[in-house]
Amino acid sequence: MVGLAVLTSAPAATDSGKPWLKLLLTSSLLVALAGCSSVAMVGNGNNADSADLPTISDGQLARLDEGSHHPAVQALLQRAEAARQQGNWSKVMSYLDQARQIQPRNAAIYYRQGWANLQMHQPAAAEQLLQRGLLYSQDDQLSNRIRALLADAMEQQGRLQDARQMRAQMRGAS
Amino acid sequence: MADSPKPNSGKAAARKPAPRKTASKTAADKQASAAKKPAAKKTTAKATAKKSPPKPPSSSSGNGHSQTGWLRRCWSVCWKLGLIAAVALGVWMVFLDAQVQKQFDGKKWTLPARVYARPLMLYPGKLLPPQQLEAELQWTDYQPRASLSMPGSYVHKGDSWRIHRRAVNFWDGREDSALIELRLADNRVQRLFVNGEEQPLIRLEPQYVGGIFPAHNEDRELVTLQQVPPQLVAALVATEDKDFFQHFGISLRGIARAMIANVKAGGVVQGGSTLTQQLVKNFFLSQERTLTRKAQEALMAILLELHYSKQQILQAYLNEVYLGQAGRRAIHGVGLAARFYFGKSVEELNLAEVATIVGLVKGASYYNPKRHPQRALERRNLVLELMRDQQLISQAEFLKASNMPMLTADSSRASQREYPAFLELVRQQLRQDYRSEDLETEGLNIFTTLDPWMQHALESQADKQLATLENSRAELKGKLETAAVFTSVDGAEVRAMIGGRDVDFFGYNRALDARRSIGSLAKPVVYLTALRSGRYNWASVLDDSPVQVAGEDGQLWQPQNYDGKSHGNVLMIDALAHSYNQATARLGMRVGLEAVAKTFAQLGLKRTVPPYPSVLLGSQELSPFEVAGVYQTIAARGFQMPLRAVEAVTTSQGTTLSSYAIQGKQTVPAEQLDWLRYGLEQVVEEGTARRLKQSFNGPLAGKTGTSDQQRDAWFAGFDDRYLGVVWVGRDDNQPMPLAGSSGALPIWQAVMQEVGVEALQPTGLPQVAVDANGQILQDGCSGRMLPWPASVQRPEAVPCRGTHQKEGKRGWLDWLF
Repeated sequence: MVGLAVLTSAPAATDSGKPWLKLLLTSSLLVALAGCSSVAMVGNGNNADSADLPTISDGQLARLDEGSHHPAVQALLQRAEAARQQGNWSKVMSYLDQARQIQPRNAAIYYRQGWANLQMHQPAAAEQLLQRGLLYSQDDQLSNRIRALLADAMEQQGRLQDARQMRAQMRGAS
Repeated sequence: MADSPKPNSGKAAARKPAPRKTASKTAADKQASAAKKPAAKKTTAKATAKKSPPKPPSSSSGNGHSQTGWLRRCWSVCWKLGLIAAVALGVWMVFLDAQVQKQFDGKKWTLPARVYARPLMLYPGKLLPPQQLEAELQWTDYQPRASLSMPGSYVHKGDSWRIHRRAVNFWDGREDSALIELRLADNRVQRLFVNGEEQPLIRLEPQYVGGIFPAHNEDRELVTLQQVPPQLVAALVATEDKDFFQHFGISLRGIARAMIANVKAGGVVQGGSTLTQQLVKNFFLSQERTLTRKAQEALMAILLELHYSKQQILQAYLNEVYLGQAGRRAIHGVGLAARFYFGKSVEELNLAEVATIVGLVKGASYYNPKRHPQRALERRNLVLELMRDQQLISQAEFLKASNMPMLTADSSRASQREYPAFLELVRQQLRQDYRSEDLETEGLNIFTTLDPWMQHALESQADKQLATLENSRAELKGKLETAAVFTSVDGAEVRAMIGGRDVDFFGYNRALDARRSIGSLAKPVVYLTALRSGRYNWASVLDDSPVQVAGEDGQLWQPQNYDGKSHGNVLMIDALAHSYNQATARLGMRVGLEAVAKTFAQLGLKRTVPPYPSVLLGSQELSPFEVAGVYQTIAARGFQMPLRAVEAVTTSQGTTLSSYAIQGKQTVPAEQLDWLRYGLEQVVEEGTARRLKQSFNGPLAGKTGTSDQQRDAWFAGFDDRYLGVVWVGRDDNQPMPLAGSSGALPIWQAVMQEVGVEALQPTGLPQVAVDANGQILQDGCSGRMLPWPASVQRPEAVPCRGTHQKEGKRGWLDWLF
């Protein structure tokens, strides 16, 4: 058992062996390793510095976890808010989507997903999720908030006329 | 879920040696390994010195002149040959040294991506039958125990469940091990406590559902030497190479012992390979048995020992060693072996289990404890004996371990089996964002949308229902095949999928690759096109009499109804509910083939629909997955979403690479799909799928489909949570005496019964009363109530006639509408 005790506690040591061999091999190793693949990351790793956090406009979302929700949804919105404060938009979207899977027809969650998409400069995706939110919204105030964001999303896509109409609907509804 | 282990096959199995005899067990003098290393270097130096050229002779005599010349030439040739040999050996050594260091310093193993099901999310209010909870715990290798001291255990008493969840690296961060307490009531989570505090939410450990392997199918779970129980290392050294800590890569004593044993036995009964040589053989070399390869193995073993510590070599060995086969997966390393044979992590192994695993090194297939428990037990006890004889364990420990029965976890259990059809989909979808090479080698963790509970229901029910169908029709015995896709209605996450009847088969995936005529599953698309045109509503009258349509090639298309009869004038709602072909063909020709094709595209079908009249009755061939895509948009009220199997991807270290969320586009107004849904509800209420009413209350939507000559039976249906598309047919595309309602619907029905149906929510569409001729009646008249969107203009209502005048007293339904 002595050997075992040594085995598990001794630091891993490398016998460097022959220096000439090392020199020769180091260069070939470097070349070989340079060719090794790394995982290609594609898509939505939208992380930003906290300095890039959006400013909150009047009548719109102040925090992702505001309002009262099902406790499980509330917990996920809190995690999403914490991720937002760290500027980790990928995590924000992940937590919001977990919340959506718990309550797949909760307009407040689509509203937040749309809002987060807008912050990530994805107005087309935001518009679709907001429309979905509008479909499920049972609350006038929330519907109007969604319409206001929808108008922003339309504007960002250059559809000024659609945005004006959406704002008109807001006024009509309020 | 009747999964039995597959026979050892494939490349990984083929490259493994037959069981060989263990190195000699006699005692050996211990020498410090440090002293051996310089000795090895000296040996090399001496070898080089021997190759130096000899000095020429200093004098020559007359008689011996020719002899001396001959000798001189001989010397010269020998000298040159020696020099060439020395240079060649040197070059070879340099080459081997480069190989050894390059492979050993770099990434040693290609690690397949590990694919996981969705983690079961627990929160108050969650629908969770206790049998589902228990099954999902067992599928992730959680054991029912008396106490919760070990992670991976649970205790169940009445409605109270206590679970010691292991630490889990989720895609959004690591969560430490946790003590979870759940109270269930009425199949729902009532209260949830985590580490003693009430919590709103926690996730269980997700089930492993397969890997994305390179061609050799090697799988392993990497472990560090610190994770491995010291007894395992002791047992390995005692059994395989007791001089391991003394030798310099090869053991001359070991070779001598083996030679003596072999001579005595009159054949090869013992190998003299050290652990280092075994590692070299498996890690660097092919399995060919030649003298050159043996020399190469010895040289590389020495080089490995020159450059690396015993600890590094041992750790590599423990991860490299081949220890079994699970279907196509070759089980490598003690980490995965512990998981595979005993359902636990390597740290949790007891002495008997340690000895069993070490026993497998000699012959993983021959000593497989699952298939050959007696052999494995004898081998285990031999290992224990060696440990005792070498004072590595006490007599008491020996007795206790060697008297234990050979207990293993079922190696074909859910946590160790794979889900080929779903894995294929995952792989296909990940290829859009990742290179295959990275998926196969980087050890990525893939978190998916698969719901194991639903998958289990689908697999078992498909098998059961097909067997029932075949039992009543002898000519079909063993000929029916199936494929099915189940998704969530609101998010298009793929929750379950089978690509055939043999759910463990890697190969032809009918869900993705079998394109078959969809039959009447095309009808809802025709009716939606009609409803959207503004010219039709559910009360429109259609003519279901014989019809002829001339195709472009001059051929006449004359569709028949399933019952061979024509039904005259029928309301559009009845034509869909009863799936009348002649009425649908007329309707489709009126709304236009192009318009129908456009609707298919808006519902998400990527494949172009040809402009033939027969497509109105589903002559086009689509895969079940494509059909599910179309019906997904119908179920999700016009929100077209790609069917999604992947939730997130992380590196082997847990860093998130991608996480995916809902995405889609409203391609058809929700109101129009709500209007169509009424028609699909009538299919279940009184049409071709009314069989479902026997099992379920409340509205469900669905459509049966049967292709020409009954070659394909389909059913597509959805409740408030899940959409399912099921196909049943024969691979040889021959007719079968089954329709959608008798062939495919029973599978859908049985699956939904197991996972629980939730009735569709009311659409809220206004309703109007119509008479038998499809005319809208004025308010206050009684008639057949049909939905009518507010945005769709109504024709002028006619006054009540005959019995259409309502009685004086109004029911509550009247007030509702």
